[in-house]
Amino acid sequence: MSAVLAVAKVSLLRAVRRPSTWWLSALAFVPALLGGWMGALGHGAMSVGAPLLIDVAAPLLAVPWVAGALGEVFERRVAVYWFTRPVPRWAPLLGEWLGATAALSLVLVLGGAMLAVADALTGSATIGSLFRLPAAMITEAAALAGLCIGVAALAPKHPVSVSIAVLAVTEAALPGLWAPMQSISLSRQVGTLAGVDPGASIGSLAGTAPSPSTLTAALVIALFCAVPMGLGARAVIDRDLG
Amino acid sequence: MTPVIEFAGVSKWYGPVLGLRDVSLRLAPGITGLLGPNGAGKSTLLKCMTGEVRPSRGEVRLFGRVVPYDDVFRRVGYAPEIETFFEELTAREFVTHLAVLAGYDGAEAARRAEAVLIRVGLAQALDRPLATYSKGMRQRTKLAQAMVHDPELILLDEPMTGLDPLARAQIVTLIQSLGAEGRTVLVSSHILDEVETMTREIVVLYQGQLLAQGNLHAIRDLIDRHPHHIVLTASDPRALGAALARLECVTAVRFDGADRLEVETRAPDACYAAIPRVATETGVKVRSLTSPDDNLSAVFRYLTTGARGAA
Repeated sequence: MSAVLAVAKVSLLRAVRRPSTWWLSALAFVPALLGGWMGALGHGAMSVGAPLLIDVAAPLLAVPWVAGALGEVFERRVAVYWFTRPVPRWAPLLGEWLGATAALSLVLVLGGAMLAVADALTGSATIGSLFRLPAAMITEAAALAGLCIGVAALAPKHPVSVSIAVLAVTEAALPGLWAPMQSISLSRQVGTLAGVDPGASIGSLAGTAPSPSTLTAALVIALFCAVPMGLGARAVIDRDLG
Repeated sequence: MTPVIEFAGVSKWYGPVLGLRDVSLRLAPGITGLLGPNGAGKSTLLKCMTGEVRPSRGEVRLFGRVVPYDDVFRRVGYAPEIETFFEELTAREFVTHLAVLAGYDGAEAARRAEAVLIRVGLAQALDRPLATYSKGMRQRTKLAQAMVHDPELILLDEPMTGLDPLARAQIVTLIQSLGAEGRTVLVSSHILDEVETMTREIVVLYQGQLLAQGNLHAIRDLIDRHPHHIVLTASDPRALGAALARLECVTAVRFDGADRLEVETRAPDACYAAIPRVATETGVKVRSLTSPDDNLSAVFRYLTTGARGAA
């Protein structure tokens, strides 16, 4: 466990010291600014800002930040320093996930909180809604971090493009083809937890969209994180690294 | 006594490309040079020991146990040939981090990291970001992280690459001190002279095969028995060639163009010693002196074609 925490701590430190982290982080605050402006115009801060934050800003932030950075660690063989220590090979991946989740959460929770405040100031939000979006953003951060780390371990040469491709399939292509597949959309499930419905914006060619369920949302988000992480861990355990 | 390193019929293919072919060897404590030209399989051999790659056939044992096994890295330090680190960290943070992963608590890891970085000569740059490090400083950092957990076996992949002569001498001294402490150190290099300053025990790889293992003098003797060529450019190559041809150590002289001559010898050391004297006596200016044979590839070509296994 100490190895996992040590990697998490260093992962956070590295993220903080990368200049790209800072300008990418700015993305998380764009929805709050846009939402606040739209709210002031009477269009509802949350209805504009939440989908923007959940569907667009969070993945745009997570993919280069997590998948790009970790892919580089594998591609340039820096990971060999981890894998030649007396720790299981999955431990650094878990540490990276913890560190990335913490860093992403911090930024997305702040972005979500700003949006919730903008909504409260310009609309009729309840106290509960002030907490639901930031809390949902933590789950999205964890899921996106898991996806990106798994992809970086599985496809270290092209982690960013593969992550984008996976998200394009789960968030747009499959739900767009058949409405029941909206269940596998991370953004829809995070929206469910946040109390907004970004999935409504997905127009499908056929079928009826399943009704939102907190249990389904929690399950899908957990799988979104665990499956790529598990496959990534399997890959670094089984395959040659050199 | 159980050998520290043991390869038993190890072969490794990367798809159709051969990395190692049926390598069997046993190494005992002390410093051993792992020699071979680029692409000989040196890095693959080291990676087989660290578990970075798995042999396609055969097995590798460290301390008597087949690798990879969970705890082997408590006893093994490895400096890979890569030049990159977690560039956002300082050397102190990087080495401390790896010490923590080796099982030390934070305070002990920090103490060890500082001590080992000072030992490799980075006392003045402990807290500088690794991104600002020169190639020589990177080599030292790699050595430091390989030594920080006090391993019994240290694997160094081309540790002299990019170092200036002074830094090279310092690293050689450091490696010699590690050997003197009773550790097993395996140092890969493609430069014979570089290894010769550290150890007399060598393993020679060529095209994935183990060509020779043992004392460096045996290889040197082979080189000396093999005709050695020295190419000179001089102001008057014919006068110089005529004088050199009278030396006992010179077996042939050939002229090539207006200012070049090639000397063939079976006693290169004696010949190198004689050339300046002869040039002075004849009043000929020697502008350059090179030897196409003074590299490992030439030695390996000779070993593979003429005397395989003789060493």
